[in-house]
Amino acid sequence: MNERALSTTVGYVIGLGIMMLLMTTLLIAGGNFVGDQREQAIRSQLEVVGQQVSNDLSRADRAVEAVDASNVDEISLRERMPQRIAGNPYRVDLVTSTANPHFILTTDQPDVRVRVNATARSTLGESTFDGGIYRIWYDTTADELVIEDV
Amino acid sequence: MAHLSRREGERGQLILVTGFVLALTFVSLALILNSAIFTENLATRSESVGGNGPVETSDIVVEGIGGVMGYANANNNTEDGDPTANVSEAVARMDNFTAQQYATRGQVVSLTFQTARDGSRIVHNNTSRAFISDDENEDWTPVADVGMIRDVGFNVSRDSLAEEEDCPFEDCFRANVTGDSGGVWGVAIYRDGDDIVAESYDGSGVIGTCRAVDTEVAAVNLSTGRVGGEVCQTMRFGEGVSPNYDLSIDNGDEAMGTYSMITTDPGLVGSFLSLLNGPDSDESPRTTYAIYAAEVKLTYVTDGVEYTVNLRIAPGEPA
Repeated sequence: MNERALSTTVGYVIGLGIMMLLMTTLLIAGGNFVGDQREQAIRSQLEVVGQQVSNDLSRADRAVEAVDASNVDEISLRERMPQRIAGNPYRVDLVTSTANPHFILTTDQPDVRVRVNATARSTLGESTFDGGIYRIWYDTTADELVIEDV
Repeated sequence: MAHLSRREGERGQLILVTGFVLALTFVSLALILNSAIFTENLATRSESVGGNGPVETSDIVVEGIGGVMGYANANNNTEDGDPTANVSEAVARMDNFTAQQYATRGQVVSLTFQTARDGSRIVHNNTSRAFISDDENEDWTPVADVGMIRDVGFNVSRDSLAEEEDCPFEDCFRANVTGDSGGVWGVAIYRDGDDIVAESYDGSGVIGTCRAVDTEVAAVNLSTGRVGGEVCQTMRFGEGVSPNYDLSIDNGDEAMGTYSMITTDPGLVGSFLSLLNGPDSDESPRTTYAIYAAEVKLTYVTDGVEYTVNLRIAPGEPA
């Protein structure tokens, strides 16, 4: 008597349909949330790395300015940064073509770009390095501070 | 309730699967956030947080060798080349013990004496004789036609100085610097009550005044711009005057105490014997051999830092 106009197939389809809807919604929301958090974490890590590199650059600059640049035979600082950020390789560019020299740190996936200011009284040379061990040194021929991979 | 499964006790597979997938997602999120914390923590432990080693070390070296030069100029100055030889030897000894000292901290430091610039020193250390020449002239020129003078320091006693009313352009003690360009810059030193005053002036008048308050003796250094140990902002050595320099004294009888200065001209030693005694004499004023500037190569190496520079040391040289 209470099974009139009842079809098992329709029952299944409705039930599964609701389930699929629920699953998809949850997974998409969860995935977006995780993606956002990951991007934020990468951004903050890139900022930390950028500040450290900027600080190292200032240290090298102080060492150069303490004596006249012409009296420098060799000044070189070697430091280590994490090789990857959240499992992604990243790149650090020292940009000197604008009025305020700065560092641009980028990762590819996700596409994150962070800018950190670079303060130095000596001339800086356009240079770039990937994560890991890097070296800041004073190029006596070009009279500028540059960064490179080691 | 609709039958979603064939047997009892096997409901909700899809919910379980969804839940499992979500859980995995959140665990991977936790791992990512963990690596972010790790990076920030590493940053606090790296050498970026401290480490001004090269700059500190070169400051220490400059100060140390400056002291050695001062001592050599004051005490080993009767023979030509003596001050330089002494400083060179002292640098070698300093290299020895700084190397040992820094090695205990895992740092390699090495000092090598490169070159020196010889000069001459004019010194007056008889406190009971006024700042007059050897032939008793109160207006005279101790230094003529030199490229540079450094560490021009007067230690004057207040009771020997003229009173304020007579200064700066009347009867009080003045040290003048003139140059090939024709400009003039000078400092007048006089007393005002219990204070000792140093007034700097140029061709157009007084530039500024600094005083050592309530003191019987004051050190006035024209090169470093210090009066009584305090910085005097208006006293900038040779302002507006370009080399070659002459340094002359006016009214040398209006001041007593000691003074000394170092020039870049070794030919002054033993010259102008009517004005200045030679290096073998004990009398004031006299000229002696001196080292004007020394150049030392400093190498500083640690794990991660390589620093090799040439330091030029000339204490009391105007900036």
